[in-house]
Amino acid sequence: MNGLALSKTDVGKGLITWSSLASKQALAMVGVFLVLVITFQIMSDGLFLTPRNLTLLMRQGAIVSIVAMGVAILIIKGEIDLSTGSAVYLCGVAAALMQTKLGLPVVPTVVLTILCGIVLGAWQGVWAVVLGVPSFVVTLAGLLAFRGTGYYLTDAATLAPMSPSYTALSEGFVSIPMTYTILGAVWLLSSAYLLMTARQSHASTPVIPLVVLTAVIGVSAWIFVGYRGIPNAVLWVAVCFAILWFLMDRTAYGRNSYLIGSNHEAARLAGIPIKKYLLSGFVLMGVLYGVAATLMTARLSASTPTSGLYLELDAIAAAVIGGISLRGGIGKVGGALVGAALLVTIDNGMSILNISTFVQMMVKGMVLLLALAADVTLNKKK
Amino acid sequence: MPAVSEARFSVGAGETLVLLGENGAGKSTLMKVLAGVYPLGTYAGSFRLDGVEAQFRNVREAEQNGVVLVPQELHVAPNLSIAENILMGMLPTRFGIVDRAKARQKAKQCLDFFELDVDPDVPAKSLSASEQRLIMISAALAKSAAKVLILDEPTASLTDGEAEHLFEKMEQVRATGVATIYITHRLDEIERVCDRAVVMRNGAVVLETPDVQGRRSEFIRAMIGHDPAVDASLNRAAPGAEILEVRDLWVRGSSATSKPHVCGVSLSARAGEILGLFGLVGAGRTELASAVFGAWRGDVTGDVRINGVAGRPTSPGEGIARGVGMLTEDRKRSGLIEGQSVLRNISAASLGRVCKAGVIHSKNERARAESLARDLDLRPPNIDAMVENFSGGNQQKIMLARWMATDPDLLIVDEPTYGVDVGARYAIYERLRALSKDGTAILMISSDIEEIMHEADRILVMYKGQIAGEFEPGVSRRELMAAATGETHVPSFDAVPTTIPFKQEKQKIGVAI
Repeated sequence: MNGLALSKTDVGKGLITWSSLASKQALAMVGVFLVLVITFQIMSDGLFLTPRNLTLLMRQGAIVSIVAMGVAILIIKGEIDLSTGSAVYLCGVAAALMQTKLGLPVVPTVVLTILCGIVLGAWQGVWAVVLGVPSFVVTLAGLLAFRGTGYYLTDAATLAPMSPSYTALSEGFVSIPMTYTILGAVWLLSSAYLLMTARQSHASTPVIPLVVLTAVIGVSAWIFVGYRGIPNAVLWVAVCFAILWFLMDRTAYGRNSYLIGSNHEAARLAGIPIKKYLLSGFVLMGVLYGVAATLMTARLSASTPTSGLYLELDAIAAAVIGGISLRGGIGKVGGALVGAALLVTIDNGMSILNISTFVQMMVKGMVLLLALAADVTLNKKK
Repeated sequence: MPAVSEARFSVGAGETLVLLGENGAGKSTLMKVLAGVYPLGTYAGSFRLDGVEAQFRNVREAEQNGVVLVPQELHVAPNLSIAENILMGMLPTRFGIVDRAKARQKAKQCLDFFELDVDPDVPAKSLSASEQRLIMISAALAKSAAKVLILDEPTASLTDGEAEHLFEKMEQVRATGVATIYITHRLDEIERVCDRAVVMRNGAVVLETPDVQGRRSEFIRAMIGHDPAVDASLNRAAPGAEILEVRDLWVRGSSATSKPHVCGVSLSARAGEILGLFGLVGAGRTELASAVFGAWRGDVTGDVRINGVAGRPTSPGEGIARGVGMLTEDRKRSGLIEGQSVLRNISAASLGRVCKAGVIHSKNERARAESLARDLDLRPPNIDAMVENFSGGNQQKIMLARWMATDPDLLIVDEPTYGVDVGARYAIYERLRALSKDGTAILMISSDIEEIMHEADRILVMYKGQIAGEFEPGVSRRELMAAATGETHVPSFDAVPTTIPFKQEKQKIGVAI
């Protein structure tokens, strides 16, 4: 529009452009992903792409995936959360105290841990939304104070062990027949959904999505059945994703969240109660603190003083890598999941190759920079 | 598609040329070429300055050669001082440190040229919109010995009084032998300030006239390529039931000490009526409307009755639920939700109507948005495109669609055609008229005197927070301006047709030159 007598405009007209199928950033990510996977596979002499390793990778990635989805929602609404690592640690301390000191059964422990997360989320929400302190500052305070509280309560000691049934929340597996059933049900429901939406909008049969769906389910079956079934941690992620995707993509709540993040004032004048939405965003984040803390405590069968360290940075990085724009209002919850997968792949692959964790941190930092640079250049405002 | 494909015109020293055209006709693009914003090599063709072919590689080169562009959007840094704004990019320094005394003196010179009696050290935000515009023009003139001054819609955000002030100053600039290229959408200004006109459409010059008197309809035809739609004011409906009743409304800022914006206003609006609310910027019109809608953040007292139900909405959400809609003045800041699609923008204020238990019924939502887009002739009619890719006029249609989707009983439109091109402007007037015929009460706030006179069924004028007068549509411009500026008695010759006083003034100026 802006150029004067530029001659490049007709190029590509009428062709099916890649950007019509998926966002440029998502495609760039898939490219990076493939390159990484192939590199790891070759360099590790075939150790990387095995059901055993891929199952491990998914279990490693569960916690950051869950937190990243919550942070993504906050960023979409135009807020941020820097406290997730400490908040998850503090909830983990609560869970460990309930298990080791009080001897509570599994279900009450989980419920109370989530409640504890809600309290932390609501606390930050009140400061950020009701009192209007920028969430950057509120959650920076949380980053310090929550971990400090945890250390004070435990003298920075490790609390262990958890009961075996509690540990199984994260570390158990769904039996192989059940795995088949779940995967089959997901495939059936998803295909039915795709066909139904296509028919409603009078589009042709969605061949490409169906092929992709079938391939994903097939690969999942190969991974899970090839090892010990679906890990419970993955189920938690799947359930959280299904709920949050529906919330953000299909409900008025999700739609209004995007509008608030894109233009606060216009959303207010369109009658959207901004404060309720922002406060509930922090509370939702609190629920996810609780879920992540449960998975973390169960996975380690303990609460350790270093657990959750740098989790907030991984979560924000995952969201940004997955196409959630820090300007607010742009991105999908699923993107955060893909971003988390990429980060965990880098971690896992480099560990297999015996590359030091210091180098891993350097590489992750570079990936984050590249993702942000991609965000800036690809989503440049016209 | 090039934005400009064929343009050819000239302008002489001491002459004011008006450049007309709808949004997207290529006026601004062409001007940006002249001013070096689009550097040499991005365009084909040539232009001459004083007979010498000009080839600017950047804005600074253009400014050094005397071509100065004052863009439509003001680039004022509100918290910096007036002096810093004027001298931005060329602050005088001594040994790398800002020479404050010299900066003050230079800024003072610029301000003196326009006889602005303000302290150059106070923040620029303390100036009115027209004063800000003037300091940007004086800043532009200060940068070099200007030969060509390009003003891109300088009056878009000004009231008539402020615009008149600007026109007087433009005459001063013209008297120094500067050639002025003036871009505007307000046809009533042309006869006041311009000597010749050039009309562009779709990137090409389609009309060039040696004078500008009495050619308005010719200009409109050339701009939109066909005859404008029939004047919507011809088919007015009889007003029906009272929708809005306001009694003794006071609106104050949030701090206790701030002076009231609206002081004891009472008014009523009926179904099927377009009530015009005229006044200068700062007269309290927007504050009054925000208070009725429930969007005002400060303190409000007084009785509001909507649809017979007493009580003032305390949030925009409550306002919408009570059947009030408000198309806000500043489209970019408080209306458009950029980065989101047309569909989402249209649904923003009425998503609940296409939801079941909080879940969006996407088929109904799309059907509603598509029918509104068709109804308003949105171009292009693609509801999945991002709103920022549309022209100003089409963005305003999207905003109107948002409020039509709420099915309001009272629709407040605040400067509904600000920054909107002629074609879309008539479409919006037609839509508002149709809505009022269907029984919506419309409260139209406008600083555009032509708009108020043509489109409103009844006109209220506000001055300093109070209603200064109520008029019928046949009222003269002078009467409206007198009420809006607080003049108590109206001169007796106000029945004279509106163009004549301006013609006389123009001749006076002609002698002076």
